Amino acid sequence: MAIETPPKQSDRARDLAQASDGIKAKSVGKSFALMQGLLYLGLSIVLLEAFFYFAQVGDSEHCMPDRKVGYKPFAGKRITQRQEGFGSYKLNSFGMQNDEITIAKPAGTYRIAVFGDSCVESIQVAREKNYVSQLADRLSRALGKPVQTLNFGVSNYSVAQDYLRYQTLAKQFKPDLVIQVYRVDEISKLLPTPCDSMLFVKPVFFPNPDGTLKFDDTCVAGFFRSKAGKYMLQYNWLRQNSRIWEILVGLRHSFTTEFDRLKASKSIFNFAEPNPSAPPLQAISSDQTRTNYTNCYWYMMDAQLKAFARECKADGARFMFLRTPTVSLGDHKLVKNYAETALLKTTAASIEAPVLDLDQALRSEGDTPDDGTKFSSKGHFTVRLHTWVADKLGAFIKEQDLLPSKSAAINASRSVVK
Amino acid sequence: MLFSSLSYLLFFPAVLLAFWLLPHRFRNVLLLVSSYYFYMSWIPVYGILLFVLTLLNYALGAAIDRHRHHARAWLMTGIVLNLSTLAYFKYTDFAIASFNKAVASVSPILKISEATLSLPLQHVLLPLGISFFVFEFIHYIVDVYKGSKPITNYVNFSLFAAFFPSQIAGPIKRYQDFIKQMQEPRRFLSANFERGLLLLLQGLFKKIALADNLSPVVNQGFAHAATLGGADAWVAALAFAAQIYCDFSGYTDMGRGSALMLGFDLPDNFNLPYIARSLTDFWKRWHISLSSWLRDYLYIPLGGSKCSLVRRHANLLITMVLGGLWHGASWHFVVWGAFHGTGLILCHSYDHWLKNSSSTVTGFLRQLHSTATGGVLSMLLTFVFVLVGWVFFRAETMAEALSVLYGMFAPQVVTSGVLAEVLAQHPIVPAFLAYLLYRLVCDYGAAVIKGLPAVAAQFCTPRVPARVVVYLAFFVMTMALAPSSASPFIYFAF
Repeated sequence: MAIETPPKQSDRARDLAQASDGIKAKSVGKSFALMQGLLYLGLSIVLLEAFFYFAQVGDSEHCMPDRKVGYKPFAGKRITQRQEGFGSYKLNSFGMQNDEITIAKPAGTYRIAVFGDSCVESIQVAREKNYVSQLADRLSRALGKPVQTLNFGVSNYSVAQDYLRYQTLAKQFKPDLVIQVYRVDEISKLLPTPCDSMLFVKPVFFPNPDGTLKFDDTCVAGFFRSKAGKYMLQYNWLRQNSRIWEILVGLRHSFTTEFDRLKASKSIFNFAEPNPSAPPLQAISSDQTRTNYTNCYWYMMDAQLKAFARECKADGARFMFLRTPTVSLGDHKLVKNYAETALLKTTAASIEAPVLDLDQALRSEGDTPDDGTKFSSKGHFTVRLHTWVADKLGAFIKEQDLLPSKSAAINASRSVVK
Repeated sequence: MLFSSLSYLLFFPAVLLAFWLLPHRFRNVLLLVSSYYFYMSWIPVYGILLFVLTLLNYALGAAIDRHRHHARAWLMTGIVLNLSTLAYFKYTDFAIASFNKAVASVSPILKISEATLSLPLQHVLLPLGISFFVFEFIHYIVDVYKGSKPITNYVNFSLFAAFFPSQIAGPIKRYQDFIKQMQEPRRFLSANFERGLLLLLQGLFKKIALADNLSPVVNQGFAHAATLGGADAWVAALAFAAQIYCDFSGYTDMGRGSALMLGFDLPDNFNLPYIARSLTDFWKRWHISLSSWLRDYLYIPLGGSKCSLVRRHANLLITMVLGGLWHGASWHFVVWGAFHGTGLILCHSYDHWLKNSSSTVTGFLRQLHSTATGGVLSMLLTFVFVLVGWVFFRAETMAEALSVLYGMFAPQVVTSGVLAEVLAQHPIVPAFLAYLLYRLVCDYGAAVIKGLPAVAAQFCTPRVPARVVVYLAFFVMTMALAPSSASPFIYFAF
């Protein structure tokens, strides 16, 4: 039988010291692991941001909240779009889908400012291939003098927002010609749609009985008070500068959508893909509803268009409308809104603004669904349609003599110099 | 449910958690229920097919084992049952369409109306994974017939067939290996768990960031086969070679990774197939579980290589043609199989000639094979052969395949520009560079760290928090490179 002898005092002290060393080593090990983890985190963030920058991923966010207009493009941000074709460009320092420009107009140069929504902004194609850029080349060649086109298009902008963008930004560039692109069913963007998405936040101009406009930013103010609006303001810097952030937000969105779908599904075996035959959501579903809506609300649109045109004219610029076609996302057929076309022409006549109706021009080529050659999957123009629009628009501007005569241009440039 | 879907990212962690929390005796039941749920999430009714086939094969295995004097009859019954099920679901419409085509071509000669003889298509929807689990059942009953012990526990047998990580697209398991793992009480090993997680992430990257980005390039290329320039045709063919590898090996990695996290070790299906130095070598590296199945249950029973040269070549050709047909009910798969069969025959003949002849030419060739240049040349030649085979595999018709091959080897123009936009639209080059970097770190990282000074080595050897950060970063990178629309797994169609 083994008899255990009690440990000596010195052995006990050594054991205690060893145990204490072990605890210390463990805690040093833990601290090291934690420090290393933090270092790896920092390093991973830097490396991923650098990789995403070179790979051109995670930089499709291009609008920031704005308390006046609702939202506007980031100034100087590089944007890459891969959903419909490929487009990669840097917004200029004014937040325009344009190369850098100076406020002062170069001598002897014509300036054309183009306003509208994503169909003008054209982030789906290379910048030099969108119709706004192509128009400058065509007119410069045709007129034998430099023509600058300024792209003020912003995704989902309404006419009211275009007008505000003119007042807050475009005015200072002193354009010679302002083109308001008025696409088919533009009226559907007249009123804001209550939702959490920033791209639906819109201020509205209501007409007063005397014809003047009353600015109403209830929707914008409401958005900035909401959770979604506060979130946008809070994380604006990250949205502008971090590609990782955009990817994480996208992931969160995908997971939330999936959770919602699972929660909403009636069967536990409902993991199948969403029904592809379900029609996409559209603002106004039928031709008749669209006509009724247009007739009902045209007084507001009419007042806004007239005010915008008058202000441009007062600033010394000519004003015209470009009516562009729209396709429905379901069947990719041209959307019809003849009532809107007729009313637009009436409004344009009353303010002596010419209208180029490219919807009618395209419709005359046939009313068959687009096979993807003219419109992208989400209804934006392909390079082919951009070229077609630039051809027609260039010819129209020349034919209508919409740019000021040579002497007027020289006088204008002198006044800038003075 | 796809491994690369969000549904799976919700389903799998739930199963994993429950699996490791439950006592051992309930784990296989949990896996079986989860596997049926996984399978039935697509078309619930096909769960019944899997259940019935499992039940019948279980009974057949028992019958073969118990009634040895009638074992052959039971075996034949089992093979006929499994193959006829596969034939019905996979080949009915193919057979009808081929018959109708034949009728259409002979009806003017026989002066009978085409409509009187032609048969209506049945439009049978192929149950997912049927080609894989039917092969597993055949393997099971054949091996039991040969003397292996059958699985006596029905839950274990059902799980062998339905195990969700390998259910839809393999690897085709061998029951002897799998049953051992099912019976052993599994202990949670963090090293295995982490290895599994890394495999899962790697597979996800291969599928989402590589294969799915290549898919539109391949689709666009083959859709415009007739107008492809030389460079376009090569890009389309190379893109498909990369896509099918990343897609299938990505799926296998995800399956193996999921299984490993649950404590199961599934066989690997790929071993760098595109560095194969001969076609024989290629088939030892590509879809290993299928090629070994075909070898063991088709080629060897046909006589294998232990017969005359002509018979051996015929066996090879039959095996490869049937292997081609296994991939899909279409003539281009048959052509692909025959193409590979012919290639293997040529390969064997060449080896035979090289071995038995002692001319100057064979001497030179033998010497060439032993050099690095010879190795690279063999690799290139094998790869080009495989690439041509992939064109037959991918094209929907023979005319389409020939157009792409014409573009590759006798181009009219360098490029017709049909792929330019789709290539620009997808971040393929950055994704491949990232994967290359990842492989370098995985393959050489440990060796590099060993050579570093102690402090640097300690920093570069990541502890748990750092490893979590790295895995998260890898996942974020994968999701960032994902295209807007996912493509289905290629091998799901088989």
